Order: sequence, then structure tokens, then C-alpha cells
Amino acid sequence: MIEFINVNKWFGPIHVLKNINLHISQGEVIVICGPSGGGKSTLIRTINRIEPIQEGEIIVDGFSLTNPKTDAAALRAEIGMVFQHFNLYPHKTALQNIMLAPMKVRGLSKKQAKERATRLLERVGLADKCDNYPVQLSGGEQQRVAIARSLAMQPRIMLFDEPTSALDPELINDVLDVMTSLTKEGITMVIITHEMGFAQRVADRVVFIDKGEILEIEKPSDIFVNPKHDRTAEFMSKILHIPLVPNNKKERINKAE
Amino acid sequence: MITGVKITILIAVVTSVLSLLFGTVIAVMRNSRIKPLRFIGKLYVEIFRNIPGLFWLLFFYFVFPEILPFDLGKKLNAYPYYPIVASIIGLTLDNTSYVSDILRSGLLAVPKGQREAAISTGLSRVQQYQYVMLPQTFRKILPPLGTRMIHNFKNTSLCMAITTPELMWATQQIESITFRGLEATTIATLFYILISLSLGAIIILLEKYYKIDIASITKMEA
Repeated sequence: MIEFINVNKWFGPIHVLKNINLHISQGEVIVICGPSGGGKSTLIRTINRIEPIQEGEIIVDGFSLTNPKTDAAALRAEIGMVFQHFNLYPHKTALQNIMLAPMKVRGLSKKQAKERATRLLERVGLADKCDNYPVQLSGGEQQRVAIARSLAMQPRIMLFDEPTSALDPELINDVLDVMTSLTKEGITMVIITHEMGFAQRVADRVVFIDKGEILEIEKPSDIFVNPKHDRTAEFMSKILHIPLVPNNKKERINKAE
Repeated sequence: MITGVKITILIAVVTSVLSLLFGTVIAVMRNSRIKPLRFIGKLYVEIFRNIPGLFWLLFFYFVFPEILPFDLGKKLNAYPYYPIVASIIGLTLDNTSYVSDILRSGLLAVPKGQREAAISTGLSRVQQYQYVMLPQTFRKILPPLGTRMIHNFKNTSLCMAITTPELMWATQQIESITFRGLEATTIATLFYILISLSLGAIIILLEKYYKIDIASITKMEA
């Protein structure tokens, strides 16, 4: 579904993605983690070409992103993206936020789009907030509207760029619940998150990135318990608040949990 | 004098609408990733903002017909409404440069994430501007835009220099015929104030109408 082949990217002199090779199959749920500034966001943003790459190739759904003939807009319509800061359109209501793209890109009638939007708002538990403007919604509600906005395009891939990092702890779970329900639908998902409990539950594989390099790709059961790499171990122990050494001791984690 | 008021309003309305239209185009050009477009936009603003509006009025009234092929210029000079046309062209070009810069500042103030959200749902470049960026821009720039439009309205008085029969010109005519300068000028002043205040009121109404959106835009940036 998504294939990175020797991808390199620079921001000016800074080498932000180094020789990325990653194959993501259809329906897979991938969690990306790693320290800030490590290239997580950049990596995920190359998948819908919000960030162009300088070297290598990315193939999404059989289309090469580096090929100038690829219709980026059409491809993006198949790829939903959810941002850390929601990025809802502030001049539109929740319903209008969701209806815009299906009407303008997919050519749905207003009635069809409204129907679909209402259904999606129900699904994310916000049926009563149709006519609220983003400012009238809490962060968690805004993020759920944003997820509904992406889903309205019926994407086959969903990208989540730290969807819960800007939320109050209390509101995180509502968003995670919606995301968990998506994993059961066979949508390919790439998620940047530091919610490790969530990652453990839903991820098929966890990718650890630091300084623009993929250091480890493992099943969640392995990476949290037996990280191969020193850097991964260091990061995980900080984030899980438990001491962790590479290739070491399940008991310690079990105890901590 | 009433005819003068009408023509003043006509010029003000037409130039405001046209300059908003062209201003949007120039602002979007200056926000483009294509370098020549950015350059043309910048060039336009620098030329028309740095040369007085009165110059452009005089230019289009006196010079422009001269540089046209002979017959066409003569026809223009004979055309009874040419002063009004020249006024509209001159003021529009002048006002567009300011309006486009105000619009550009509004465009820059729309958070980057807005465009990224629009891009990621597959909207085309035109749609991004049409449905996401520009509506937010207009809400943000209402106050300075309103000021500019009032300014533009007052600038219509410059058109008297090219014999456009607008309010100021009519006032001068009345004075030179009746020698009642004080009365004529007082009434003209009242007209100007009345129209300016109404314009200001319209802007305030618009701001109130979009209040909920403006509040949300401000809050989302915080």
C-alpha cells in the first residue's frame, strides 16, 4: 500500500530523512514513535506529498509520488490526514467542515454530503454538535470532527500526526476510542503517537525513528519489552516511566504495569 | 450637486468592487510559489502605491489618449463620459495596490495548517483559496479594508482635477457661479461625512455578522 524506497530528504542543509526503507501493507496499523525533531512528522507528511522528497521513491497505492504525472490531488483524496492542532476551518460549522471536500472533490450533492456528515458525526459521538463552530467545541471534540472530516472522503489510508498531543488528558480517550474503532475497518493507518498503551493495543508494527533514521521496526510486544537498540531502550524507558535495558527482562515491565 | 453625489458614489462603489477583485488576484499572485507571478504582483504594487493617485488620474485623462493610435485617442477625448471612465481606471489601479497588500497580510495570517488540511482532503489549489483561505482572509482584514474603502471614497474628490462632475467638482462650480462658497462647501462636507459614516457603519455590521467566526479564528491561533 505504501512503500518507501531509499528515501532521503533535506531541509536546506539539514538531512531530515536518511535512507528510509519501509513497506506498509494494506490494512496495516503502523505506529511511529521517537524523540521530537527526529523526523516522524516529516516522514508521515511525505506520504501525501505535503512534504516533497529529494531522493528515493515513495509508492502509494501503486502510484509513485515522485512521478510528476501522478495526480497528487486525486491521491490525497484517498489519504486522510489528522493533525496535532486539528486544523478545522474556523469559519465553518462542524457539519460544513465535513461536507466541503466530499462536495467539491467527490462531487456529492449537498444532501448526500450532509447525510454522510451527519452519520459520521454520530459515529464519533457528536451528533448534537452539527451546527457548532470549532471555537464552540472542546479540543477532543474538535479532533473527532477532524477525524470525521477525513473519513468523509472514505480514504483507504489515514495518517495521524500526534492526534492527542494537544489535548487535555481527560479528552484523549474519546479520540483514541474513535481511532481504535477505525483499526477494525481495514483502513491502512499510520499513526504518530506517544500513547504507548494505545500503540500496544492497536499497532501491527511500531517504527522507531531518531535523527531521521529508522532504528527499529518491531511488533509492539517486542519493541516495548525487548528493544534491540540502545536509543530505543532509552526512549521507551523515559516514555513508559520504567527502567529498560536493551534485550532485557520482561518481568520488570510486567511489574511496572 | 445631487448629481455630483451620485457620481461620487458611483465612482466609489465601482472602484471599490473592482479593486477588491483585482486586489485578490494580485494578493494570490504574490502568495504563489511561481516566481514570475510573485514578481509581477510585487511590481504592480510598487508602481501604483508609490506614485500618487492624482498622477494616475491625470495620466489616464491627458496622456493615455495621446499614446493610443491617433483615431482612438481622439474618440476617447470626444466621449462625454471619458472623465468618469478615466477616474474609475485611475482610482481602481491606485486602490488595488493598497487593497492587495491588505489582503496579502490577511492571507499570511491564515495559519499554515488550514491550507494543509485543505490540501490533504484533495481540494485543488483554486478550491483551497476559494473555500478555505480567502473566506478567512476577508474576515481577518475587514477593519483595515473598511478604512481603505473610506479612504478610496474620499479620493474620488481628486477626480475633479480631470473635470469629472463629482461632488467636489460640483461644489466648485456652484461657488464660481453663485459665489456662495461657504454654503456649498458646508453641504459638500456634510455629504462626505454622511457617506463615510455610513460606510463605517456597514463595515461594523459586517464585523458583527462574522463575529462568531472572527472570535473562533482568533482563539484558534492562541
